Amino acid sequence: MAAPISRGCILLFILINAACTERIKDMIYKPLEGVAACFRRHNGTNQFGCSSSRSGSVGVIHIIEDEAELVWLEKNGNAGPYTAVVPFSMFTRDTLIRLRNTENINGILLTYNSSIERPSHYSPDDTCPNRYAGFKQCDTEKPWNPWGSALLMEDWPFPMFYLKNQSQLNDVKTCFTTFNAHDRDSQSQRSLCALEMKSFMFSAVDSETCIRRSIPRLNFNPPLYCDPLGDRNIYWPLAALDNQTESVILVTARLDASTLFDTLAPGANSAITGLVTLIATAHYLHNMNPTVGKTNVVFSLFNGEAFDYIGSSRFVFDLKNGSFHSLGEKTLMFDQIRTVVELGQLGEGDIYLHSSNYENDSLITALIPKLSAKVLKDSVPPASIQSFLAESSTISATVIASHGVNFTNKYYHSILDDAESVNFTSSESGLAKSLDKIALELANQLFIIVTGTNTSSNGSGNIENLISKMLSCYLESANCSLFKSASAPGHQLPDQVLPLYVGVNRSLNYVTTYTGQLLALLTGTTLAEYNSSMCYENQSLWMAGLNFQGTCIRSAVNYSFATSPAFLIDGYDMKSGYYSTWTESVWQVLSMKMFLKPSVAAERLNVILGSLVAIASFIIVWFIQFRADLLFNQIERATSKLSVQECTQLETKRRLLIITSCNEKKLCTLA
Amino acid sequence: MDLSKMSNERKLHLCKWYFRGGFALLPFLWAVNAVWFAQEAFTVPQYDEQKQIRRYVIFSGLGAFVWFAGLLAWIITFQTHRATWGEFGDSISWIIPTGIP
Repeated sequence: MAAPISRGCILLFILINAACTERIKDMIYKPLEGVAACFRRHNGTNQFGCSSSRSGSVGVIHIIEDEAELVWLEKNGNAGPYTAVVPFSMFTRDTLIRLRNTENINGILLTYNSSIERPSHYSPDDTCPNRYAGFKQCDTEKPWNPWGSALLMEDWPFPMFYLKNQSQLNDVKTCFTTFNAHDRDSQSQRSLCALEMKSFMFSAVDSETCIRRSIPRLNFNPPLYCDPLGDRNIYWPLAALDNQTESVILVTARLDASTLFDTLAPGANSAITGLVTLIATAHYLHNMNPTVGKTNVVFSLFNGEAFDYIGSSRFVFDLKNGSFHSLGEKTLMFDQIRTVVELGQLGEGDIYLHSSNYENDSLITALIPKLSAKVLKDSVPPASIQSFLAESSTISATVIASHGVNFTNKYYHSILDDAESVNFTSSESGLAKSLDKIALELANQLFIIVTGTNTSSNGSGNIENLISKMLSCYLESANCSLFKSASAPGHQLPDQVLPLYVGVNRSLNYVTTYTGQLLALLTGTTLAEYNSSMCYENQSLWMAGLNFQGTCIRSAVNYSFATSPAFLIDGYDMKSGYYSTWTESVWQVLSMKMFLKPSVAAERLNVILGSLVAIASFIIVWFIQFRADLLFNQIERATSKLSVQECTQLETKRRLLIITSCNEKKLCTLA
Repeated sequence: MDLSKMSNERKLHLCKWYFRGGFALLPFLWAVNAVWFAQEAFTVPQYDEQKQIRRYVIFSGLGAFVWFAGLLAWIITFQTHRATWGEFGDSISWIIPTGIP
């Protein structure tokens, strides 16, 4: 009775074990989720960013929180290669260059502890953003972005990751203090906590090379090495362009930002403030319901401006070639543009108009007193108007911004350029108020010029609240009421801050889609009598609407491709520097895991033991083969050596043997 | 095939045809010929056809050696200079490695 029970127990034990096993891989490695990685980009002449080695770069964790630790790593780090874990305070150009010079670094992990105060400034972009592109060179003595460390403009020989998750950050710290931090000098003699970073990039050299390599040759399909950067521009004309239209005022803003790390590009000050003000202006102007005469207004949002003005240069290129058809039946020509007003980095405080050729322009001259703005004559910040001025240096253009000759944004193009950096909270925001003021004044002046009459503002009153809601959509989470209203009913929105990085041209950005739909919702006409199917038949947009019940919106919002002309022109010289040539490398994985790396001595022992076993097995096999006759072929071999005489003798013996055995058998049976 | 069980005429025939076959851009055939018949050509007791076999073996060996020297030189040149050749380097490559110039 006891036996079956115990047998059952054993069976149960095996079953449970089989069901709850942990794979050996999981026991060795601890994957770190929610990390963002630095990746590789190219322009016409160089490569930028980071890549791990093909199979992943492994480095022993060393937390560098102050200068002393950095010096220790430079002078005494003997168990390398190391992975430096650095907080923002140490993530400077100087530190990174010093770490690179040690040639003992296999990775950098940037950590962000939100409980610690953020650094006073951090901008990985150049001091002169888009230095080699556009119309007007930046003054290197008085650069636009004095806090720029140009980390983005460097080809790093190691991978870089960013980790914000506090619990995982604690895991890394605990692992470091348990295994690595004590007895530093004997580090190389024991197992150490290490990180493996996988971010291997396929492309190399420059855009020209990696694009050429991606083109199929002969009958062979090569892997993709890189893709051109690009997405879509968004346009909204106040009224459809027709034969009556003589001139066009272009109101623009940029739609993109960039950072060092994938999936993180909040661009709060650098892009969102201008973008939201543009949508608000469009909404105001739409609500004023002007009768458009000879002068029309086109609102445009350009994408990829962080990478040598991809969107605006493409727009200008299309205008020049007469191939711009995104504004209705009439083709817009470059000469029709009389003024370009760009909404740059905005915020609370003083307003500056960086203006060129504005003296005779009624719009810009009217805006100056209305916004009580300071004018910076012939100042051209790194903004979309560079593309227009490059085409025609006599065009009237201005950038409305809250910075003078230097950016006030201390986190330009960084992961810290977020809601906190622009002091935005959805409950109370001075920012929304400032943006509202600019939008209203701009809309009023546009109304005056378009209609040719003087106006009293009769726009909807509650727009400050709307701006606040828009800011919340872009700065806090895309899963917000306005984006919900501007999407198809039941559409699932991502619950995160949408990254503004332009990305590659073969995948569409969420932020462009949602922004276009939001602009359509706020500037379109509601077709109340249409249901969803009728709406689609009439080429209108069916979206949830402000009451979330579903509304049909007819809108003139349209998109055009924002891919650099460099990739369209046959035989374009990628090194000429005229158009943007930025490409992004293809990669397979971006991942990071932590594990205990055995000491060098243990690894050596493993190799030696393995080699010994291999050598021993060779010897044994050789020995067995050498003495194989002893084991396998004894009789055969013996037979072959017998002479005829011996053979007959043997045969006789055998016969005798058979006879005797037969007799024995007979005897047995008889018995 | 076991050469020891073969008639001398047959050996010569085989060695000759291996040598001729090598001209079809088959250096490995020459190498095989040279190694395979080396003993027949140099160490075994003399016989009538041996002189001819020896000649074929020597020339096969020489041909194979020149081929391999040439190949080695080309491989080293290609591997070390492909990146600097740029577009030409890519155009003569069947598989271009990822992540490196």
